[in-house]
Amino acid sequence: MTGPSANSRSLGSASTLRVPAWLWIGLSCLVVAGCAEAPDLGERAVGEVYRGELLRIMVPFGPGGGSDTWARLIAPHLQRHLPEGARIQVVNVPGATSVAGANEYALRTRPDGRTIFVSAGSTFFVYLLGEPMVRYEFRDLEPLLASPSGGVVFVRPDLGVSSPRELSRVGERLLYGGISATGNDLLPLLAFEILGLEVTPILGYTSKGATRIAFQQGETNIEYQTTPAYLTNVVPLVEAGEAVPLFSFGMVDGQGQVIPDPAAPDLPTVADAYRAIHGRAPSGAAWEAYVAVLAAGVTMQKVLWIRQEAPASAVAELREAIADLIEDPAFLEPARRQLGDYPFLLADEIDEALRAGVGMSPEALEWLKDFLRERFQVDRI
Amino acid sequence: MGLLFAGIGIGLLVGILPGLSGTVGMSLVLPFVFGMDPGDALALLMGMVAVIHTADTFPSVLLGVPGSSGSQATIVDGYPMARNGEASRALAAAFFSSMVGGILGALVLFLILPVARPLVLALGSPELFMLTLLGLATVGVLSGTRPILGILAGLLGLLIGAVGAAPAVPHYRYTFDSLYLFDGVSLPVLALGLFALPELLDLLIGKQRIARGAVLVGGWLQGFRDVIQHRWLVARCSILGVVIGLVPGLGGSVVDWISYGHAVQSAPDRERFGKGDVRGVIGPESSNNAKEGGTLVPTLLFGIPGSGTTAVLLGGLGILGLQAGPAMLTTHLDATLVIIWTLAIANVFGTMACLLPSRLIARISLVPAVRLAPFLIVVMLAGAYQSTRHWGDLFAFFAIGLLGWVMKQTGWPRPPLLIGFVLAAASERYLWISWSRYGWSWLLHPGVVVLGVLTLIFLVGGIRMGGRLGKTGDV
Repeated sequence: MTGPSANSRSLGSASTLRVPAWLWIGLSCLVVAGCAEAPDLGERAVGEVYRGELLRIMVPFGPGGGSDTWARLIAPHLQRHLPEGARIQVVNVPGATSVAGANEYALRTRPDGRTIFVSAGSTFFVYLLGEPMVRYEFRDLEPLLASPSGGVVFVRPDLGVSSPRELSRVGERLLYGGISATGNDLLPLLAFEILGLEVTPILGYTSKGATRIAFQQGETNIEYQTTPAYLTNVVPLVEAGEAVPLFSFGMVDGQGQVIPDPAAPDLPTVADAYRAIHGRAPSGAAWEAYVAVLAAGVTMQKVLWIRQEAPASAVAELREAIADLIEDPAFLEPARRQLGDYPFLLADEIDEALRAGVGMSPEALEWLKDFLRERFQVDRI
Repeated sequence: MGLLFAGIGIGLLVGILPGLSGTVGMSLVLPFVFGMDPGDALALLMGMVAVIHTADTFPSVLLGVPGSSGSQATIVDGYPMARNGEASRALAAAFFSSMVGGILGALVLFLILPVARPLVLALGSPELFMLTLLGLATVGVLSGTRPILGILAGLLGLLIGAVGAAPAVPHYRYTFDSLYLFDGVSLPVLALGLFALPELLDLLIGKQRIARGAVLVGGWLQGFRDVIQHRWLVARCSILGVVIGLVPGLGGSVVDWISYGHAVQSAPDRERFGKGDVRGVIGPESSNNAKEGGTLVPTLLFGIPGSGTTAVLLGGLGILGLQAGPAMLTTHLDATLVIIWTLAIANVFGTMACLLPSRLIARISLVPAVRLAPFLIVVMLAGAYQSTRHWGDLFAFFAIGLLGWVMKQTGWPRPPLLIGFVLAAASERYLWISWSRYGWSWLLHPGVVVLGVLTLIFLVGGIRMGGRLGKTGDV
């Protein structure tokens, strides 16, 4: 953990820890010997806290994935909004679909404000479901910034449907390719269940890229992609007549209502699709579970956190820098290109969405667990 | 151009250090990519990718330690050559065939780009499953006189590969509630433990040096001549490399073994394989640079990384504002071409950079193991620990090292175990998907039938050949 921290200056701004540590272990030892105890950030005034300091963003996935790319997109821009001499380094701690990294952040990092953490939708899902390996508690973390990312469901044209209502009459021919029932696929699987579609789930693909190929091959015929991937990779298929978009997952607003996806505003949401099929608004434990999973997986797809015990001045300075960041056109332009046209959420809005997600009623949680146990043999929860 | 050389330099370093993969190299250069001109950034990234599998030959040949996942098969014959005192010849042959393979790979990639999309789309899960079986069938070729031991070792590899989360359902196997085992055993730890530690132990016990004789025989020129003499093998293995490389989610890790198997099966005389036959070096080395071209196809056209390296490359492209997808052949064609030609140029320079000092470095094989060991143990431990940076890596390294040593002492072939491990997750995944999607009917897909027949030929050929082969050499 300590190796490259001392040399990241030579590496440039947003560096990584997954580099050959031993190359610099000797160097680092010298530096560490020179400064025995790092100063306490809490004693500094706001606006001075991170001056000349190294701030690490811990990512609980390996390099190259969605969370890693997100952190690396933000790091150099956030660094510009921190005081002079502050440096940001992205640290990858992959393992056990983000549980290893999240546990390490919550239990083993020092709450000194020098490390912040990125969670993904799956970090929430395993937490919501009570996976026994989860040792972290979101209530002990302060949210700093969240970035939503929705998803769009589409089908192959040979099914001959063009609306959710027609989809409900297709019968048992629907084949869905996914990765695992407790990952991001939970959301489409819940949506299919609520809409009453008879979908055969085929799980075990390596990535949503692999399922997209399976869809193009005809191995599956109903598929979802996150909105950025939908816009770059599926819209060309739609234009070529090889895919038909049907609905989006939607997003959860502060009142717990499902609203249209800002990046795909013309598509109906799952709530609209339900109304079209059943003639009334969705309700009940299943729907409540869907909204909670939607809040966790879409509205808060990526969240930046800091330990609650971190010095108040450090938290305040980070909040200020992030408030500046999300107004900065030099950041917003590449962000929009890479993440889709979504608003960034700050602490207050995240708190509201969190209540919708983490505060699921016991009945809804029980329904969700039963659904996973009975349909997907998930026996750990 | 300067950045291309920077990339080449980093790639060479990453390749030489055992246990470091392209993923590490990629994450090392990624921070610099922000705000760079896309052409420069691509030169930096591709320069690095192109040469990793050139430089990783040093530890494979000289120390019997796989430098990265791409040069595992090289050790089967490369290391015995070093023990015979032919280190220079092996290195020169390896570098030269790497270069030719890399250039041919770029060329083939360029030629098949227009038809690559339908090609990738033709490979469904059943075909991918059969490809993993084909990879496993090389076990028959590699296990020498006693195919049954090879098959058992391969099965043991499959079993070790089953540790951790199941591919499709949230079941955890043999994890004993340890968070470290949730992700299974990592490949660098397994490869280092299996091959490097036992080798070092035996050298130390025997107070030997790597080269048995006191002088080095054979040199550069011999290596060049070998490559020219076996030019068709180079060509075939390069094409094999590109084609297998473009299979999404499978390519990278098996390509060298499959071409090793091909080198053995296509040779008229097979007695010297495993004991230091130069063809056993040329085959895998010409394919492992060529495959980098192949893995770019799923990465660029579908946004699906074919290896850890290309996964990070994909992140880098995103940073540059290039979205992988069909647009890489239309609006971003210029970027795609920069990538391909950088790959070819970097291969040439990377080879030269490796070749020049190789004569000097080959002398490592004359250093007594007692002096080499402390350095090597540190490098191996760091390489093992680097893979997940968890203490469990060190325990796993020693446990697997012990297993490898016992296998070496008792004459069990170790390469099949590694292949089984590498293919465990993929074979299970694609079998599961094939079954849940098609039931029994996938067995009749034309691609499946063709690959099945090929696999059978490989298996029967391997077992029949086993009787005629002498005892396997050092590995």
